[in-house]
Amino acid sequence: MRTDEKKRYVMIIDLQKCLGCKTCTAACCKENGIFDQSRAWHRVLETVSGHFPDYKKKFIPAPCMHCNNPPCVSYCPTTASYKDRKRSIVRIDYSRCITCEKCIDACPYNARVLNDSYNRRDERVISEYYPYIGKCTFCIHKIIENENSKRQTNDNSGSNISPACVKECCGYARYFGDINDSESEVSNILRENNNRMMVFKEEEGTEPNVFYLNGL
Amino acid sequence: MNYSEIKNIIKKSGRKAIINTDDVCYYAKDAEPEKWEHAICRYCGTGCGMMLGIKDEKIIAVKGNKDYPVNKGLLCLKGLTVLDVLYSDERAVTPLIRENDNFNPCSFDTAYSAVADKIQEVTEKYGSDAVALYVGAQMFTEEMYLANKLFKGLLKTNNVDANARLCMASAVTGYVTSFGIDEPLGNYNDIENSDAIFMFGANPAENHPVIFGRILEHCSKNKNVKLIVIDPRFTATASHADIWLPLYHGSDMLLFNSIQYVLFAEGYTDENFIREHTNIVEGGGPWGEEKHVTIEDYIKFLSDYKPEKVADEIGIQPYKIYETARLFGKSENVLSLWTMGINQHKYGTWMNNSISNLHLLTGKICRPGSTPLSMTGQPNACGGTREQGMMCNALPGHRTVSNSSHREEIEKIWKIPDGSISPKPGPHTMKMFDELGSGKIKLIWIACTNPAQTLPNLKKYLPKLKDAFVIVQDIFPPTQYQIGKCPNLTAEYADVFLPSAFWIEKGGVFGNTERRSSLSRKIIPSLKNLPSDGEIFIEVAKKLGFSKFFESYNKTEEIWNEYLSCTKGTDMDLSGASYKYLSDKQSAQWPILKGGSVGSEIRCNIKYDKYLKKLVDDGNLNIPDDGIYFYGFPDGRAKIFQMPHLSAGEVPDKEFPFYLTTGRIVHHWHSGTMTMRSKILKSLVKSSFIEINIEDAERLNISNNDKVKITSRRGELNLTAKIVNPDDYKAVDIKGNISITRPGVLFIPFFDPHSLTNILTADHVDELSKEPEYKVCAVKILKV
Repeated sequence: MRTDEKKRYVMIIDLQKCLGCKTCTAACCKENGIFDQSRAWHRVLETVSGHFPDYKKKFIPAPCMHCNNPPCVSYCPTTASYKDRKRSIVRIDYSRCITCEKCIDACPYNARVLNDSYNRRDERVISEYYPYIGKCTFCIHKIIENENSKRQTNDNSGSNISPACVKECCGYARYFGDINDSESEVSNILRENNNRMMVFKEEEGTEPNVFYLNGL
Repeated sequence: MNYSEIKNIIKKSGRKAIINTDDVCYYAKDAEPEKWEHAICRYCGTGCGMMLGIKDEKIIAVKGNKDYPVNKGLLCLKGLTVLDVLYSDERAVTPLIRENDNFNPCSFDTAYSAVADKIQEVTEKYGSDAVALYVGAQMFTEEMYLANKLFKGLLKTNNVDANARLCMASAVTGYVTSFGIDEPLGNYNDIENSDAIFMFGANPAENHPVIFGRILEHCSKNKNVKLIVIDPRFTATASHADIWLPLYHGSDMLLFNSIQYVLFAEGYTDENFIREHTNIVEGGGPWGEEKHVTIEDYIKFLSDYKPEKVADEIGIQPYKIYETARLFGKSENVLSLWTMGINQHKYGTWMNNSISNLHLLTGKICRPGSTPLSMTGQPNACGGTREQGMMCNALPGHRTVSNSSHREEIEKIWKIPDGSISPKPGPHTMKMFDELGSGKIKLIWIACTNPAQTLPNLKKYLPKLKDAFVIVQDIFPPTQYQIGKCPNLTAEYADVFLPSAFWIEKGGVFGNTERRSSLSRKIIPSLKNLPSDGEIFIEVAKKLGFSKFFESYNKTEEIWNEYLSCTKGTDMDLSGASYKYLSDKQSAQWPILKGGSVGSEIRCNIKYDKYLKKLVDDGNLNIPDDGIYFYGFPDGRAKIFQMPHLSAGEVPDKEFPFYLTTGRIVHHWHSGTMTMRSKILKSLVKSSFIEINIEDAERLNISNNDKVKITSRRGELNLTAKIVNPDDYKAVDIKGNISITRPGVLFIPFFDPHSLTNILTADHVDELSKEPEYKVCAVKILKV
């Protein structure tokens, strides 16, 4: 497979297998150097319904959906937010970002947060306590590292590009990979579970790249 | 820095670019670990294997060990963030000696002398039973072994108890009374072989996530596998259940007897198994003489517990009890898991017996997928405390102090004079703290645990802690020494404070829930060359003049080998598990005999149990054809206990109308001394709260985030109310997990040192296991 080929990275989350243990949130914070979970990039939403003793509850892990029609990108006044077409990932160019927070309001999933840069692993953001817009990057540093690496294999569904939340999930509920590759694990899962597949807030028309299996 | 402060900075600074590096990798390349080392997780009793990435003698990365059989590469959020604790800047580095209200730093030698002098002074003045040792089940087995030898063997007192008394003493007595032997018969692999999983008073989705991950994986692969959760709270675990039974607190025995009634009435019992392998008895221990009961009488006894008769008292509809019992009967293999929701009750031993009853009556035991398995909450509760005999009545290798041949065997191994070990069991934890100060015990040594936060009915015990001479051994110092930091409440009461090395800064063996002993080696040098807990015991022993009994221990391996000789020939034979064996295999499940290649996954079945096989091979032991033999009792039969329902130690009345229960949440572990120091974990849940059902809240006009005052007969506490309104249906991003208590029940977690839940809880104990009833007390609630 050639490296300049277009990829479409997607995440699949099986809601039936999500324990609600929040390990994904902690793993994300750890990987990306965030020390305040209330401003974590990856949160776990919960829904409750019913009356005693027939309660129902679902956990909905909510990373950035990396939409095909991302509202955050269209609302950005400086084009700092952009869609990386090579990998189908919504990214931020920090050299243009003015931290106006319009994207935070624009996102229907509340996927963007204002982080402080203190102690962040990303060495680009240098000044202590200087705030920046943070969001899930699908751990793009791993993807880029893999692309640059000499050890690069053709196996893009391999765990070496999986984001921290996918790798550490205690419920084995997550899958990550390139859906343009019709033989990848994610492609197979989406094909097999077509009837169980759904996206979050479909009515927004954002065309998310995070898919859920079975039941909101 | 909070959100609004950041916004202000933006406003002031105006437009400012942050440096751009396009596609540069986030990873600092030079931070790649030089090598990876295996260790066992420091937190719960699941006992996950970890890989730690080391560079320049510092740990820089943590990941799960893919080859380790328990977790297969996974870690939960607590394990992932454990480095925050290891490299916390609040770690204690200097020994402290109290002078009036101040702590004076001193050298280790001075501190050891101070401890030894005081022990000598107290024992000379008041006798050897005036000193006591209280330890946490979080030290390595070798270290506990040394402490045991120092106190029981050389100081000649059995005033030694472990915090496992507050945690799983009822599971111990439950196993010992039902099967004659301690420790579970099954193991985690039973999860993948089961057809139904019963969860009694446990919330593994929050407290043992890795295990619950395995359970859900099994359920999703096999759609017919059912999950039954019995818990008054609708927890994360309950939200995955096929049947959720929200029973009232303390009505467990009604439910158990009721399920047994249905098993008999609908013919799900295995009469052959009952005849061959069990005795039905009543009484025993503190409840009078043990009497045999015929099966007919037992059925007659159970008829009082017909679901229709007791359903109201349990608080669930009768059909659900029938459904549950039928599931238990119908499923080929049933796995029962439980934790504190069973153990921390006034009749915790009986409840443990009842779970075993269910398995014995139906013959669903001693085969893959069928077993009653008690899960533990501390990394070395099974290993160091139960197996090594850290309790007040125990000696290494499942021995007891009251048995004279057991004492002789241990005296020989410890090379101490005959008759050194006292035959009288010491006081259990609650009695030990009751005797403190003005009572018989003048000095207490507390290591690796936090009783000033975790004992029930704290107001009664805290003044006693003040009166006594207290030696505290911990990794976090008293706050007076570091102002403005998270308190370590027990250290506040220290007269001498001894800082110790942490986890991978020392080495040893942990024993997890499923009898698995795993070696965790010393990987990095300890902070400021702090001594390990074991070294502290050795040094103090030397100051006390016991040098010759301790000078042979230069390495932890030597201590372990001596301990192995204690286990030889016992039901928990570990003699094949040398350090070499453990590092080759990473872990082993005992019984594991010398020269044996593998351990034993299932006990009391000759197919799997190496010890039973040896008994049969060696002697003329005749065992039934199916190979199942409960060797804990001379006749090889397990006991089915006929136990009535009795009400809990304190039940709600007009003045205190609510049940209160306590427990843990996903982010914090026990008293929070470690997890409250992890920035990631602390950021989401900073302080304690109280869960109230929406029905009760509406009646009392309390809404979410209101301040409320909780009062019990023992104390009062102000907290923030957390109420979930399911009618307000939307995805919520609530801080922490949403659990819903059943109406009439309140829940408070106990991790927060700033609002002490245990001021409210009651300190009456199970008569046999002496475990306090944390899970039930009566309170009232008022809006402030």
